[in-house]
Amino acid sequence: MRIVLDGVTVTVDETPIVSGVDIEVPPGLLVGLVGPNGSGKSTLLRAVYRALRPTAGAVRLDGADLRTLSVRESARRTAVVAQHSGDGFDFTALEIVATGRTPHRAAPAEDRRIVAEALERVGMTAQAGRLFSTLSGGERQRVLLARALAQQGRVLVLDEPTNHLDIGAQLDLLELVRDLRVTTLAALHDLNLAAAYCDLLHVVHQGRIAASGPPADVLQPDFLAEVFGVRAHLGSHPLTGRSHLSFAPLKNTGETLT
Amino acid sequence: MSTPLTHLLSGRRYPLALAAVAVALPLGLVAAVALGAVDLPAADVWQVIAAHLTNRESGVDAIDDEIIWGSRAPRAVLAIVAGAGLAVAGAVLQAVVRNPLADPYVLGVTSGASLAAVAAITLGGLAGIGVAGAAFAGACASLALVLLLGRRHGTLTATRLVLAGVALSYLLQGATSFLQLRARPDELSGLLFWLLGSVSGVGWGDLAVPCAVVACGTAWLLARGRRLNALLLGDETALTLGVPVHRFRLELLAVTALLTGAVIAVAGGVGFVGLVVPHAVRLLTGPDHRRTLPLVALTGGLFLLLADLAARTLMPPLELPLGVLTAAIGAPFFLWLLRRESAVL
Repeated sequence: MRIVLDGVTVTVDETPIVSGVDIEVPPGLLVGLVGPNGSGKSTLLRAVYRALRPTAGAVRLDGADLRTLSVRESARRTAVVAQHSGDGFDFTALEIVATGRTPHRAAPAEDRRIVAEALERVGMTAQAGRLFSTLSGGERQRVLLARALAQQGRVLVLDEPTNHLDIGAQLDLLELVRDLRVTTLAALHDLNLAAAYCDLLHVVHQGRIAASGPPADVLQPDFLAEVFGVRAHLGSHPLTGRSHLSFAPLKNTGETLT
Repeated sequence: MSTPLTHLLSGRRYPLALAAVAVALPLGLVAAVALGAVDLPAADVWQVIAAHLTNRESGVDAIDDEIIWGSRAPRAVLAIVAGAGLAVAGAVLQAVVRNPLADPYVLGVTSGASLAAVAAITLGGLAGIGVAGAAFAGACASLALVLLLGRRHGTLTATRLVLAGVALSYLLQGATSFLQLRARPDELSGLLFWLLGSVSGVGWGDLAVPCAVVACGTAWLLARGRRLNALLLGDETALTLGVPVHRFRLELLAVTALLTGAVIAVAGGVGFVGLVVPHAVRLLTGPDHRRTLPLVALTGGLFLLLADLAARTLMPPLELPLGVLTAAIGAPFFLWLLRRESAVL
């Protein structure tokens, strides 16, 4: 399934948060949104999962305008993993994953099978009966990813899914997502993670798309200086050999002090 | 300190618990009908109930028959129906406003019903609809007002609903107190009894509406267990799970107000059932509404049935208002459950 944002403008309380944004997520690719805090990444994602309605433009799934779908129909197509997951109200991991079946009408046995498979796929079968609130941050995000899998959407929307996770859990989660080969639009904070896992990147800056393309083309030091206000250095990762960004403040770096 | 790792009633233990309460309910009903100012043998109770249900002569003494079928049985049935309705409404409202302290009264529904009932008693029948009719109209009117006050930009948020409900409740309670002050002494005890809740003096004719509303309302809510679970996870998550949150919340509010209104119109403002029973059940089963709601309904019915039995038999010949009993049983039980949970921690 293909996601297309076509000239999307979202206005909240008469202030435009994003204006005229065009984004295309080709089927099966992992497309990242990066940008400073408040640039409009989450707003764009919320327009895709219908928490916000575009004031102009449209979001299309395989050509169909979201507005022509019922809430339930779009929930069958699009699954979401958002950044703050709450404490899960004492649901068990299994029960949280089972909520992914809400938009579907299947036989209970079929639901149970799909939920069990989703837990298996993220490696959480052993913790299925555990209360969600007793799981670690990384385990929680994996459970929420399993819920998205149980929802069987052909589009995945991730809003900073690696926030608050330790580095091991961050890598685990993104490996899992990449291996799913589902059409995915993800807002990510860490530029190096975005570069390592995304097929394409869009840089959001002040509510507009400032650059789009493969990570290596987009993440150029001069451009990052302009958007993020930092000095960036593009080197190669000592372990993987992939290109790797290092950052320093724009001014007063401390180097001249000694 | 850590929380328990999973639900206490998981797997096969849940249907067992459900069956236990389902069996206790008819036994409790017979006990409630047998015990009272005059104790009657349980065998007679069975016989009279069976005879009336199958349209036969019971062969039991006519006075006993009248006590059983004409007075105690409808009262016990109302206690069950009222307890079930209030407990289910409380469980659902806790999800609707995502607030553990919510009960059927948090949205001002009871305060509206009480004010209208008290007004009907002290100022004379409101346009001939009687106290019950006035209470029901008051419940609906106060819900409409809360919905109107609780919306902003056309959407209802959980917090706004609660705040609007609490504010309106205080206002309506103030008005009720004012009317109470002006009441004649002979009206006062009736007023108090109604405000604290009571299932006494009902006949089969009074039961039709609350029975139908509680049965239909509970069935409707049971069919929406999955969407209620999604709602518990937050509006935005529920939306991404395919729940049209705004419309669903309005439907839930309407149905729970109907449940509450139909119950308090005949039983008065019985407190605590809607708060304590859902929590007690949830502590055992976890929050999944498909598991909690059936058990909440049965437990609520059993709880109020036993509370009414205690109200009639604890201090004869004095009959205690139900609200006093539900608070006296409910509050310590609630605290015990909380402490017990922390003992597991």
